[in-house]
Amino acid sequence: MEQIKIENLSFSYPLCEKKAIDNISLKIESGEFILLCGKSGCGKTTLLKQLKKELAPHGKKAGNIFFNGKSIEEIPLRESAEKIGFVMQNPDLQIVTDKVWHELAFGIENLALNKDEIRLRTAEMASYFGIEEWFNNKTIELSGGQRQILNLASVMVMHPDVLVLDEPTSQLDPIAAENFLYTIGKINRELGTTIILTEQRLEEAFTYADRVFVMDRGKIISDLAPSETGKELNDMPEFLKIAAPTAIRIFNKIGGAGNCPVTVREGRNFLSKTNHKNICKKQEKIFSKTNAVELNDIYFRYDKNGKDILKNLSLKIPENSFFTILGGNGTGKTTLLKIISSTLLPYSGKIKIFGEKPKKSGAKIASMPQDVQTLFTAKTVMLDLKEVNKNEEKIKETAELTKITDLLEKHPFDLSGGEQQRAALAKVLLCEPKILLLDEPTKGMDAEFKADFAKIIQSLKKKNCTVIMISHDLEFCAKYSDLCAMLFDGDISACASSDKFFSGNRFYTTASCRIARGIIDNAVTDEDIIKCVNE
Amino acid sequence: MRKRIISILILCLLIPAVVIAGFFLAKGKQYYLVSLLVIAISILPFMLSLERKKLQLRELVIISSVIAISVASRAAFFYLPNIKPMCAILIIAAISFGAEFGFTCGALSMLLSNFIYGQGMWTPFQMLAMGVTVFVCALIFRTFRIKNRFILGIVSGILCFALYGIIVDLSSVFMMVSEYNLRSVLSIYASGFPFNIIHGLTTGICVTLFEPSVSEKLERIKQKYGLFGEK
Amino acid sequence: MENGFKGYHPISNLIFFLSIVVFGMLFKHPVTLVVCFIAALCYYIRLCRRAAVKSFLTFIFPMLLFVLIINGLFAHYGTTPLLTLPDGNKMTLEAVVYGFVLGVATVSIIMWFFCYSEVVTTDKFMCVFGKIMPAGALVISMALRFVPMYKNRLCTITEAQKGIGRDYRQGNIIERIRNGGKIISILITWSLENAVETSDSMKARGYGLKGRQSYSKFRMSKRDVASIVIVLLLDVILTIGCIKKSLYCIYNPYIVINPSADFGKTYFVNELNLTLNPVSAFGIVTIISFTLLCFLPLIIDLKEDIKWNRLKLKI
Repeated sequence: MEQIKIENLSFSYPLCEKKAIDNISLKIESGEFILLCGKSGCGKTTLLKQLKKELAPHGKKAGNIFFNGKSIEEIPLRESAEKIGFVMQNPDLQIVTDKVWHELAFGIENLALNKDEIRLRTAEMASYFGIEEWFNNKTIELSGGQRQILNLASVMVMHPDVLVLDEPTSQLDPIAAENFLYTIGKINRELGTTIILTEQRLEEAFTYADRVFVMDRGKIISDLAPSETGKELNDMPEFLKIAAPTAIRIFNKIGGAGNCPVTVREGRNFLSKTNHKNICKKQEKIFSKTNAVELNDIYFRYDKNGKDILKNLSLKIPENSFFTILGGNGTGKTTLLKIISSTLLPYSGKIKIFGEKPKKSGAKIASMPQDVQTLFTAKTVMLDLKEVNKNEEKIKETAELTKITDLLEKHPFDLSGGEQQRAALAKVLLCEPKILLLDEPTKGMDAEFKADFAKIIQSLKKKNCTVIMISHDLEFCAKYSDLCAMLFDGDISACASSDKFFSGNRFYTTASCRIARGIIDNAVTDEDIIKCVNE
Repeated sequence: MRKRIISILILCLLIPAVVIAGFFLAKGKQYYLVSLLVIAISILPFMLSLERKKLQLRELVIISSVIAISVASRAAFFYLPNIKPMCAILIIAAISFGAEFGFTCGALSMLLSNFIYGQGMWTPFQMLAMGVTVFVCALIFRTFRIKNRFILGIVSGILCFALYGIIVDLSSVFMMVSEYNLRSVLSIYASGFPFNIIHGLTTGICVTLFEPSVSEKLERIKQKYGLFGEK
Repeated sequence: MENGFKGYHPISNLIFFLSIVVFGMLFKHPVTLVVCFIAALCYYIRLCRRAAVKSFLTFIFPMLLFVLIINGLFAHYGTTPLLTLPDGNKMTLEAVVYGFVLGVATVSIIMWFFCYSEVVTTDKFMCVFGKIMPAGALVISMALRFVPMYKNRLCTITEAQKGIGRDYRQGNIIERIRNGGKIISILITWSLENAVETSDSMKARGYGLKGRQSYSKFRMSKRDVASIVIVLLLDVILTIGCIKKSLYCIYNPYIVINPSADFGKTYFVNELNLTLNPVSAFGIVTIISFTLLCFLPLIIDLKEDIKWNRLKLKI
């Protein structure tokens, strides 16, 4: 018997005509790994929350959900809490208590198990997830990746049969995200727990999934194995055509036949069998001779007795370019950004903005933080924008550019994540900066919005604005950025135009580059590969 | 409503009760120990209301958040070390969320802040003092529907100086004075005077300056999530 | 590290500190005062080392003087004038002595509280408090988790606002306070609007089901039980001592140390109106019990140190 069965489920929020979920029927067997994908706002989260009746939002509901043959309404709360685990997006907000061990115990405390059982289960989970080392730490001391693993562990400690995960990696950097997905895969393989996962980062998630549900406007429009889904990509909604794993995209664009490749390895096999050119030729990009930012021998540390965060760092960023700073966690990327914006001052070294000292140059530098919610102060978006720029014309223009014209009268916190990001960008742009600093702007964006975002940046470049971005998103950088620099151990270890940068790296590079390595030289993006095959 | 009257009664009788109990019940001059007992008894109902009352989970989380914000708020003024906006924030929150909420948050905020800065024999007195101050302020402002931010600021400044100061320094009086004449008690209060006047003054200023924007945000949250009796 | 008395079960720690504070205040006998003071100081120094010495010199000692001065100058009971103050009142021996007694008692208690802060960590407090008031304990535990998070957020907000040209550290003092208020109000919206997700995460993990347990990772071991039994036994003896007034002392209107006794020799110092009675048998028992109680943590710590040294020698 199937573990979860949904029959003709429809749901609409109060005061809302449109159905958030529209007549969905599906079956999930025990032990399956289900990937649910769809663009943001398509009803994924609403559907997931229906599976967990404690979290089900208020609204009009029709149809049935069965869990192990019983209607979900009739399942006692205890069983629902125990058997269906739920992990949410933001690692920070799910943690309840101040100590790691207490957080692990929180769920089983609620189940009213006895002390020895609690002790046993926390110990067991701590060792399964490799938490022993920080078992006695405070939760605030953990990194984002560790926090999300802790959230996962503190759900697993209740021994659920089904694990529901709502974009759990959207706030993590790629390495932590991969590690997290790997852990979920391990749980699925070793414990047989059913996994239902929604994800923006499909590249890795596709390789773990047994089945892929594609959701669009409240409906499930496809329910196939990953490679089958890939094969049908041309019939899928637009977002999936952009977001699907690179191998699948290439396969479809080229018009391949046979099994659709999903992983990098399969992609390489496929590509080597096609007719293709061996070298991808590219035009050299030409940059302005004037430098927007010039850093010379920068040294920086936070404490007098601390260690150097940046040492002997020199960097030139040409005017009107889109410059990206890459690098692992804790290498000092954010610090570097703060030095450019003069929020922090180096204890040695020189900074020049447009050839002059930062104060003298008078060039406006504005930066967009990672947490865009920190920018909102007023009760409507309009008032918020007026706070930085009184010019109505400018506001209108910027609102159109960032596509927030319909949102101007709303409260900033009533917007969805993507909308908030756009509103924040508008606010930053209204400062009319000559240099725009972005701290991981693509985190949590869906593929379609990323493309929009890239367009906004391109139009800024035309308006004589230099854009400097910190990012972990290699695909995005390879596609849109002009120059890339790699920060390692407080120093720039490589700086080159994006094409050269990525084709030179072996691991720290895009999936396209890994697929094309040795087959088509210099190909960095899927477009490069497709161009070389089709010609 | 009945609950409210009971809690008002408890509090209005509280301050005199602490003093009177201290003077009459304690034959062995153990004013401090006796007052500790009285404080424990008076804080208890509010703590128990957390346990008994069918509070929404959200409300519980909001209570924790408000406590944490009031304790952490000091960090927003690290360049002005004398300003501790804790009392002001609690008062503004209590105006929106209710006086009992204010007492509970006030007492727990002091306990929590002492976790960080060190517990002392004054902890229970601080808990009571903060609770009572916030409670009384919120009660006055809510019953008379005072909206003018300057009146709010002045009244809470005075109450913060007087109530909070009197109750907290009472712990020193009970511990350190052997003969309860006016001069020795006054001398203790005089030693606490600079601190209390700055505390009262900054609280008043903070309430005046913060009230409009903070209140607006709290009201929105109260309505959006249907908290504390707002349905 | 968590060793010695600090490594004991929270209940054992709490009972000890409760007893020491209560009896430290009840007894005003010179011997117990001195014992209490020395024990508190020693344990405080053992726990905090240099910081303890520093705080003793800069905070505790001045406090002792302060209490002494207030009582000496403003209290006028007693029968033995020492000198006449400029305002015409007399400074009495009794007031000065009692001021000293109060000062030593106050300072000792304060030091015990410092020790308490070191020994009873928040984890330990929550362990006990959680058993009495689970919801209250959860509120505190959540708040403890939020405080550092919010502090970080305040920095993030300040920097983010600076990034769009709002430097909140400029202007006169009123301006600055107002700017601080803006930052706090951003924090309030940011935090409270997101609090819903936290409560969802709690609900998803079954908060609100009946019979929630309060788990703590502390386990009662034999030595914990033993220490609790010892403290309680000492408490019983001391309570009897209190009731029997075996350490009876008065400082007003004249000084009498120890209850009047049928045996032994009583000393009178007539010029100072001072009566010194001999200590009764049970008085000695009480004093010994009190000394044991005060030094209990130090004894436990020392025992452990000695054991370690022996083990080291054997290896």
